[in-house]
Amino acid sequence: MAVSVLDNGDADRRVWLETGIPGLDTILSGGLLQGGLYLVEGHAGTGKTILGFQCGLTYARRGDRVVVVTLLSESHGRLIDHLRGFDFFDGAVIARSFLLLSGYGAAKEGLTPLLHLLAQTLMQEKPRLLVIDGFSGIRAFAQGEQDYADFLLELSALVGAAGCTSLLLSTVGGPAHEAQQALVDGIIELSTAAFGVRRIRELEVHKFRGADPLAGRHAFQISKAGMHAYPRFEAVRTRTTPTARVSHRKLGFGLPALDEMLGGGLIEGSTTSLLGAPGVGKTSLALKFLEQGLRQGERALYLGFYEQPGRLLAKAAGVGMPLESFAESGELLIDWRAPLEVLLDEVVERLLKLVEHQRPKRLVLDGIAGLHEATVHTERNQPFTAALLHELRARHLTTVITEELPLFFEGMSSVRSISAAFVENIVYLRYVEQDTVVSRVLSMIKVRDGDHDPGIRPFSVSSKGFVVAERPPLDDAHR
Amino acid sequence: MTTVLLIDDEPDTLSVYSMLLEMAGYRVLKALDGAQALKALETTMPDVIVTDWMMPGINGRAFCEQLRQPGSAYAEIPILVGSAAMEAPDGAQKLYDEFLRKPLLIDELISGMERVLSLSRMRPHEEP
Repeated sequence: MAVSVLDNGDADRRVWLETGIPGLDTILSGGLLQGGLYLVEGHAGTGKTILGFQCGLTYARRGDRVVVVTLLSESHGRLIDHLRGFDFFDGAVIARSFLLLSGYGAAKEGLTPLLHLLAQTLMQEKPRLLVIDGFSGIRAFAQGEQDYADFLLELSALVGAAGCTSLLLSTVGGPAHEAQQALVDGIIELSTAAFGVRRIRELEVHKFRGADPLAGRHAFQISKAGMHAYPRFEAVRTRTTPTARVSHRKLGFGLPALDEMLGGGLIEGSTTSLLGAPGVGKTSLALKFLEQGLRQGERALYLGFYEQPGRLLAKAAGVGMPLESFAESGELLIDWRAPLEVLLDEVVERLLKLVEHQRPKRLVLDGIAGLHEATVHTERNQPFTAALLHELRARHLTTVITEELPLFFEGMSSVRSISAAFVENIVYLRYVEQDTVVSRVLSMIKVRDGDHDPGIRPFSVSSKGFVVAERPPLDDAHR
Repeated sequence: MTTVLLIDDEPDTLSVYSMLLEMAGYRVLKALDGAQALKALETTMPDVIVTDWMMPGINGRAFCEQLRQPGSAYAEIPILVGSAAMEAPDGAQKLYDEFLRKPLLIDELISGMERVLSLSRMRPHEEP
């Protein structure tokens, strides 16, 4: 008797298909399981239908059929009309690859006729994705919780047998909610949360069989481009920690006295914080660091939150650093984000894309507080900063951060720095009162790896440039 | 019309696969375990049997052994075994025609059934 064994042993036959929604597949650790049954739940207006259709269009563009079944939801015409404004919408693809049908009539007859309708559709259309919009409405047609649980069990078996990934778009809570949650392969919750007057969209994966999604809440946005999720940066980097290369090369500021204090400059791939009160010269010194690199043919990237590019270039020119030509040639890339209603992870995603694109040697993050103002979960600030700086080191970027200290304070011990614990070097810039004038001095508070001059040096910022005083000659007693 | 005897102790799986097979044009007899399946065989001779391996009572192995014993009237019916176990059951290959690993796509099941049916039709059948 001929025996054929189709089994392929321990091999993993599961197929994971990407949703195509930016960021979501990273959160899901790869996408949705083919034949999996997923509950997408959230209150009205949280973006469930957008998620379903955006995902559907990804499948359709890959050449797969998509079936959308509506229950207690808006008419198909209205549904499509509302989606027309999104960039991901493509009427031709929808016409070619989507089947939209109402399950309402069948559901009114009971859940068995509805299951038959779904089975018939899956057998005929052979879709790779089924989206059931208004799924919570099904409970209204069930004859009790057992009937509803049976339906869910059979639906799970049905989509598994058909190899059709299914998204059940449902409101949160309601009767039989626990049965619903227990019987699906995964639950993605969409929500909005108020932080002061801001309202942030967040998603959380509560359950995901067979994979290891990024736990916790992640911000997402819905814009004309559609849905875009932003995996929590530190959560992603905890999982995939890149390794930083070790370098002994020094990158200078082009200020002989300061470079001498630093033992030749900043070690390539290191991060340095310039701490100081408002107006003391942090941005000017950071720009000087970029200018020195640009003069040596290195590319540079500036990310700031407080000065627009035009003003920044004018400011640089005003202190003897003409950077316009570098900006025009693209060797210097200035990215400015107003620290208003931006998302922390969005800013970082954009920064890393620019780094990818620009391949800079030197980077300035001007005003790290601007990054932290973008977060609504302040407990993230420390792990986020640590993860970001580690990422920049791993990309072999030599980074200078500016961080503002209060204008008036008593003693350094009363000052709390965001970045101090995570950077290799700290340069402290401050005002000092001397007789009848206020002048400025700088000193090294922390220099990891290497000799440095612990002295305090006067400096000035004027149209003549950024000038650090040379070390005073040692007197006989110190010689 | 091809008649399939479908045996699975999971009611939802049994109900869904039988519904899909009927939609694909098969006649389906359903049984939740080996005992129910043997009872069904008393009245109807299926063209092919699809059985789960791990079931309570008369499990897949015991059921197949009964069908394949010498002189059995059902010895020639092709059998497909499906199991979520990682490998085909050890030492049981003579008891069935094809092993399919669960979870099963309906298209895989239909292809498997048609394959064993076609091999069965080509096989010289023993005189009773």
